[in-house]
Amino acid sequence: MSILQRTILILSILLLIALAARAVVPPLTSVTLAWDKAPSHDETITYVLQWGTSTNSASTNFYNNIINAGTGTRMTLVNPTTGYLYFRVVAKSVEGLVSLPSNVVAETNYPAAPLQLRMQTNTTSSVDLEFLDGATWKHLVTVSNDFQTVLSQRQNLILRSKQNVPLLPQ
Amino acid sequence: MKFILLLLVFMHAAQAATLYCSPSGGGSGADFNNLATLPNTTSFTRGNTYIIIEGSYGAKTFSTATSGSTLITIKKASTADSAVAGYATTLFDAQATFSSLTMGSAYWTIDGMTGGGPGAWESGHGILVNGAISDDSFGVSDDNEDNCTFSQIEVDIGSVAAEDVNAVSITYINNWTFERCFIHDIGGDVFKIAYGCDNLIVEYCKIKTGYQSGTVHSDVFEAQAATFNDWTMRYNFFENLNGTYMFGAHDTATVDGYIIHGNIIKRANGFYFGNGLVATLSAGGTLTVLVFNQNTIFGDFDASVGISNPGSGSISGSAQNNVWVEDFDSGYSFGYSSLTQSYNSHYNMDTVSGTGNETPSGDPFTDSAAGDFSTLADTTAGTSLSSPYDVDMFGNSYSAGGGWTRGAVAYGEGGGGPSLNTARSTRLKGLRLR
Repeated sequence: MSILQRTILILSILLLIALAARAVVPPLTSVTLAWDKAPSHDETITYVLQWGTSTNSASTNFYNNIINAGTGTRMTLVNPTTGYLYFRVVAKSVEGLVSLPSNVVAETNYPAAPLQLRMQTNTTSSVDLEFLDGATWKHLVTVSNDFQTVLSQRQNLILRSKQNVPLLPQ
Repeated sequence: MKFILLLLVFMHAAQAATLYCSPSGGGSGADFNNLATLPNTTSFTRGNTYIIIEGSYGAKTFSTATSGSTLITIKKASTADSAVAGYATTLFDAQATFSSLTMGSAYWTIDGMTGGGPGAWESGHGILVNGAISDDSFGVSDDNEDNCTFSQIEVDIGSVAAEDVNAVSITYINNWTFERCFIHDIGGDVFKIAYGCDNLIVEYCKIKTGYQSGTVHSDVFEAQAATFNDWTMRYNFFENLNGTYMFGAHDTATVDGYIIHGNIIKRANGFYFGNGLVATLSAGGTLTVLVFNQNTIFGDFDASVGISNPGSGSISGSAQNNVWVEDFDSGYSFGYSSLTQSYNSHYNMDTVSGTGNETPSGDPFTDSAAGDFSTLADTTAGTSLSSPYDVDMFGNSYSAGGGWTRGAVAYGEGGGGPSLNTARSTRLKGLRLR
């Protein structure tokens, strides 16, 4: 491997590490949505911001959150719903006519990852996982059977449900 | 000959005066500086328009003899009168109030001029009636109180229980129209109609909160003891009403040609119709050529609802493109009696047979709690209907959103929407939305 190849490899690894670091997105404490006015806009038109965690109209989470944004074209949401969020806006006349919806903008809002996980017990058949909540370790789940081999090798475990969190071996 | 014709035209024009009135003005009525006292009973003049300011007018009977089809018009003062001497908005920024209205002759128009209809269902009505609207010979004879129009009027019966106080009681009348009215807190029937009434139209009205008890059975549109032709109930908002039925016929009554189109019907838990939303009685009643389409029905369906024909009554017609949403329970279902029914959506209910019917789940509306029954997305396509059934209460096509929307409010009826601007949309921490 030449020096150039080694350099490229190292740079690639550093880039991957940087990208991985960016993948852990902080929770969405607030978000500002802005929109361009409806074609039929006049001073009486108001806008309604809608969001939910599903774009399936059969889902109960289909744009199930609404907030009247008034006549403005900007709205900041504080602590919106957790999950993968879809936002859109509709215009509404004073008579109650609702326009076709805007384009959809998506945003991720997952909760912050727990700082630490640990195995509290480790038998030949199961292990208890705990996470650190402030200064207190709390039980998360008991893992058994299929994970035995992995656990016996004392590898770092990754909680992959929402965000990647390394498990600290005991 | 020309002179005589001109003279006749002049005389007719001279007869059609506009008078500005208050409850006890005493003036000539020439303008707002010379307010006259609003006449009563037979002392109106055919062809005249009476502009009334705010104030309490008491109980009025309108019985001036007819003259062909010449109208008498009573209108609330409004910004349309701004060029009249003495005009001031303080003259009409409160309601003109009547304790009751009794119609004793034909060809009247009573117009509140402001308020009501979609977007302002319960507000802004220029005229308030704190009692019933009725004809002066209820159940007695046909002495011709036909051709009356009631616009933008609030009717507050003021009942808090089943007191058997009707909001509108009429017999032997034809061609009555109620539009953009708000009728509420009714302790009996909303419309008690008997002995033959043709061409009744109720449109763009809100009818809210009705009561009944074990001894006082209420109905929304009660038809009794005759054949009635051509009723149209469209683009209304009905909320929390009780009764034996909402649309139906008693015993020997027949409604022939009954259009129920584009209405919103909302019911909280505890409000119900004993026989059905559209129903007859066990002792009889006939509904023929019934058109029940593009209605939105939302709420608690535990008690009997749907189209019901108990006993010896009969119902025939069609029900299409309606959206029923059971908001409290699941597993409930109902039938359509003998109606031809197709392309109806029954949310949170058991399967209903028929072409194009479906039983999805959830609440498809933008904000049902606040009374916004536009849908969040276009519904499963209904079947296309021809005029006059192709537009909603806003006058927009049911195909405005692309497919044919089921239910009362067309999807995308407000036209093209705004567009989210991702360049201006940010997290406060500086991350840009994707």
